[in-house]
Amino acid sequence: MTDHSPAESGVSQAAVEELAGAPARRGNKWWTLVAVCLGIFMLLLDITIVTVALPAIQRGLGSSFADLQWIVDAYALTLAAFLLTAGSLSDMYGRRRLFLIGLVVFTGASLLCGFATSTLMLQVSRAVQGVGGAIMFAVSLALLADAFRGKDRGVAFGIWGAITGIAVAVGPLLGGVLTSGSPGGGFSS
Amino acid sequence: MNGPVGAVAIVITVLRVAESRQSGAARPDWPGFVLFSLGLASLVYGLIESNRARDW
Repeated sequence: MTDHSPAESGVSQAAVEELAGAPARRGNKWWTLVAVCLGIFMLLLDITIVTVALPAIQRGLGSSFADLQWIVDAYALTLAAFLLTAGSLSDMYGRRRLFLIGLVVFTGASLLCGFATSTLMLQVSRAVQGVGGAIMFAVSLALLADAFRGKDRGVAFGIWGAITGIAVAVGPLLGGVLTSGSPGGGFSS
Repeated sequence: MNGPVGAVAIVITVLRVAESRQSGAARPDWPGFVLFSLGLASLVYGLIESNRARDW
């Protein structure tokens, strides 16, 4: 929870560009794209961002090597495990509703990660984060496919794909920025 | 960092995202979900624990 500016400016810049590209079209679906991309960015960022922060976490919380592996894997594990189920639940109960649930769960668990006082609490928070992330990930493309038709769908999926790549690539960099900003403490992702 | 970004995304979703669903959607495969989750967790557990065994 220390240095927010790099991620936010990066995201909002991308969002502004997306909107600027479609001034005449209905706002609704492009806002859907922005929301989906914000969610996707966060959830993919969180796979890699923690890696650079691991030494700081180890110092801050006194974690063992296996503990650190679990901090990384707890997230990836629940992300993978809940993906399919989240998809079919969203078909039943509505994608917007599920996406919202995913966002709230993910954001809430992220805050818990930031306030984690023990290794176990961080691991459990990461696992909960993964559940939220899985819901967002599963629903994201369905939301886009539903909101966009024809040529716009290609644009939307293209932006989705670009954000996917950027988020994974930027993760370690942001992790470094966040941890070096506050030595020993700022391991929140 | 996820806090503010998440909050923005939540607001946009509430205000601007249209609801959609699939009529006649199949129920989730709960036994499959449980088995897959257990299997995946066991695999990861095994891989992490294998680190502690000297023979590896």
